[in-house]
Amino acid sequence: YAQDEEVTLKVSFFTPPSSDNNKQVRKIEERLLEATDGRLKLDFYEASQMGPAPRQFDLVRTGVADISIMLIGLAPGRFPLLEMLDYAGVIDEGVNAEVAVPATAAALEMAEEYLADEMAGVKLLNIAVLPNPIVISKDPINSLEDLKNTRIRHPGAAHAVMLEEVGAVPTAVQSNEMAEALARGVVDGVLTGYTGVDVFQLQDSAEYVLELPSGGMTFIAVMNQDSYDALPDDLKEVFDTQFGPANQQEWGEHLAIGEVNARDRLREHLTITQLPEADIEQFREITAGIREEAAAERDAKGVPGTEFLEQLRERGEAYR
Amino acid sequence: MSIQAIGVLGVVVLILLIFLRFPVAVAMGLVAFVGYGAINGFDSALQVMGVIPFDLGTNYALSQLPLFVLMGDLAVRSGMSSRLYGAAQTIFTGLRGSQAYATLGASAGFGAVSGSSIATAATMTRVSVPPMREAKYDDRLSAGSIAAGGTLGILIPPSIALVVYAMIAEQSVPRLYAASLIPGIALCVLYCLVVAVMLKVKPGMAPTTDERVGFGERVRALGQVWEIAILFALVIGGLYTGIFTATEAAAVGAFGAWFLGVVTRRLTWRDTFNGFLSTLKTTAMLYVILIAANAFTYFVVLTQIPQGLVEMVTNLGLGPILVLVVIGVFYVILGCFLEAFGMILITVPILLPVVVQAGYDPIWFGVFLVVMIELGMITPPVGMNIFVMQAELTKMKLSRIYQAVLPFLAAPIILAVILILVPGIATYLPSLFFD
Amino acid sequence: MLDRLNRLLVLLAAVALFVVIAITLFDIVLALVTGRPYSGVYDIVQAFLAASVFLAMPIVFRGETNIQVNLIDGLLGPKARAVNLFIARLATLAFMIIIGWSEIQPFRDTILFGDILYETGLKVWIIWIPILIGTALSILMVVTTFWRGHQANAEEVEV
Ligand code: NA
Ligand code: NA
Repeated sequence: YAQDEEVTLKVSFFTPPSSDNNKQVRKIEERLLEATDGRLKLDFYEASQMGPAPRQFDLVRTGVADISIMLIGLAPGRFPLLEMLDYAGVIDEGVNAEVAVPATAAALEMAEEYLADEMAGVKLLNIAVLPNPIVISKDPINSLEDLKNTRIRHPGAAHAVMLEEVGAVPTAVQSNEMAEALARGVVDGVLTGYTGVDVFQLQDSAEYVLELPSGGMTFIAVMNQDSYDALPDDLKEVFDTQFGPANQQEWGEHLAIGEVNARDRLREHLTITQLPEADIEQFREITAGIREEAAAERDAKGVPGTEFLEQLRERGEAYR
Repeated sequence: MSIQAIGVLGVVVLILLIFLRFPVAVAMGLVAFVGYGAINGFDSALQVMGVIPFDLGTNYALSQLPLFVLMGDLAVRSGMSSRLYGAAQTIFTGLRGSQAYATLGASAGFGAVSGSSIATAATMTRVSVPPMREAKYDDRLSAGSIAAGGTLGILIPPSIALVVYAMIAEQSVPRLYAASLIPGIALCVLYCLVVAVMLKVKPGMAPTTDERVGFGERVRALGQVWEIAILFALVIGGLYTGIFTATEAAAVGAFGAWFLGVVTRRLTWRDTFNGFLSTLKTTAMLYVILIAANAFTYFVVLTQIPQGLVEMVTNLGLGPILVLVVIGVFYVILGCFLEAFGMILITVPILLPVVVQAGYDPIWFGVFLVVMIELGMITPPVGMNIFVMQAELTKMKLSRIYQAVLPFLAAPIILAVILILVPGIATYLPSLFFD
Repeated sequence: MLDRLNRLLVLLAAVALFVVIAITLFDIVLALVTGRPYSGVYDIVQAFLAASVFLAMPIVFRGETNIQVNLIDGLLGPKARAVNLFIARLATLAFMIIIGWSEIQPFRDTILFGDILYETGLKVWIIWIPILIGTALSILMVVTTFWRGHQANAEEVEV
């Protein structure tokens, strides 16, 4: 009987068990077990046990794992449209739970229409964005002027361009070398989330934080299409309550909530400032230029970048 | 057959094939492929194996390996290292086994520059073997002290192993480095004690040095090592002032060794070329093993062997110290057939929660784990430092290196016991510096 | 012929290793002098590291210097030793064929998806080329070992 069939799905993470994405899926695992009387199980392979971070998408596409979470910035060019979510000005500004909800929900809604090419062979389950990474530094950086000529570790292509445009020196440092690089002065600052500061305990080496509307770091939860199609109907029904559009609100929020909580935990160790109002205006102009140029580049290659950005904004309104 | 049974079978077959004289990499690779395929399908096995050569070949941190090997090679060809050992002999005249102690001391010093044990062992083999042979040391004493000394590379900061652990366990790298400092020095001292005991039992392993040497001559001997002193100051100075990172330090070291050799006219173009050549052969040989070991790691992950251990430990309801002893024994076994990266990747996500529950600090566990990895690097049959020595000393039989290393296993085991009983030797410095 | 080929490969590998050193030093000096490091160093080091490792690999298989444990040597007679050697060579061939075969799909995927490296935009498939060449020639070198009666030792195939 299909009714009695048990299914175990292999879930691969490049992040360790204590990361927010892992915790989110662990929470979902409990709900799935309860709703299916233990018939739908998830086996966790965490901290890159199944393969390195940039391979996570391919692990699912080729059926090595059933489900995985991919940081799309690790595969430049592979996801030309989804990559747009990383650019400053696409998700909302600030540090609160809601900032990434409209854009991520709209993007998921548009998956069939726009993302079929970049998601070939996989089912895009959900989208999560770590919103507006901050700059943490040893010496205070309070304005765009202060940022000039500082060496800042960047988390990906979109942010490297942004740093370059404001006159900073984007520097490639692997995330596991971040703390050392900061402590020894190989870089002046690191662009990362509050959760990144917390995880790598960067507050040991630096105390000044500049908050700015810097964009996001986009994660996608993906599933092998055959694995999804092979789920018995009754399990699929339960599965769809936790993964996919029905639960996108939670997925769109959980990393932002993690940021808010990490900031609260770290507040006493850090000196937090925002860009001054005049600078924010200037910064928005700069990032709008970068965004439009990136979209135009895609347009020129026959990928509807500009249209995708417009649609994100329009359809996102429905989720506010 | 359960997946855990496949895992155990795989390990047994691996050890069998290794003793049947299959090249170690071939044995690991074939078992990994068949085992992975049996559990997760052969399409998956192919997919997983197919990207390993690329992923390791383009692994930025691994660039340390050929560069430090090259540095050691050029230091030998320009005579730097034999002058270092000559100086050590003069300075410590009268002390039997001075060169073995010098090797351990130099390994610790090199460990403060390099984050990799393989690179440390490979460099020290190049540097130490020729002068120790010339001084008529028993090969077993030199091989043992080099393979053992090489393990210090991942305990004395910087350390790739601790960085990888920090990633998985979400711990601070600077704290881990502070925690590993005292145990690192302690391990070096313990290795020296092993040498002392060995020489007590078999004095013939090291040459006698009866002649008298005056104080002045001993001081003058220091002048022999100025090139090494400059090289060391350059690398460590740049590293700790943030001019370059731990990985970049390797390139600086290789260039520095070459430059000093050329300006002192001790290194010819021919030497340089031969240095590159022999470095590349060593590196390629080690890469073949690393590729296979990586595949083997992915296979062991699928067998969920650590999960079985956790179940067992939980069911037995052991006290904290016994839990750690069981985990320690488990690591000793794992260390026999896994290399460093595999040991971390396979165990940490599963075992860390158990250790924390037993009341031990994650920072402490990082140090304990690295000590267990160091032990694994010198236990037969799969021990990367042993392989490194074999790669460089093609004439010395592997079984003889196994034998040479055996007495040195006592040191990391003693250190692990001390760590379990007195966790403070790891946790004191980080809390002093950061809390 | 084979030895000349290996000599050429190792020469190329040495050049690649030299580039790794040169680009790293260039970056350090540039950052010291101008305060601006050269972005792209990671990519270049990665690409040339792969080339230097894999182009040097065939010579390891040619010389049969892969690490092995020689505990049973004393127990085997010359005939048994020959059989043992033959089986070990066969296993080595199988291992390298699996590696080579498994590399094909990911290589084709990387072309299909147009994967690039992060800082330089370098096409990933280009980095694969020396890896594939090194693997293919390693297989060839394993095949040539079957025509050799005894096991080579490093000196015989010194280039
Ligand atoms: Na070290
Ligand atoms: Na071992």
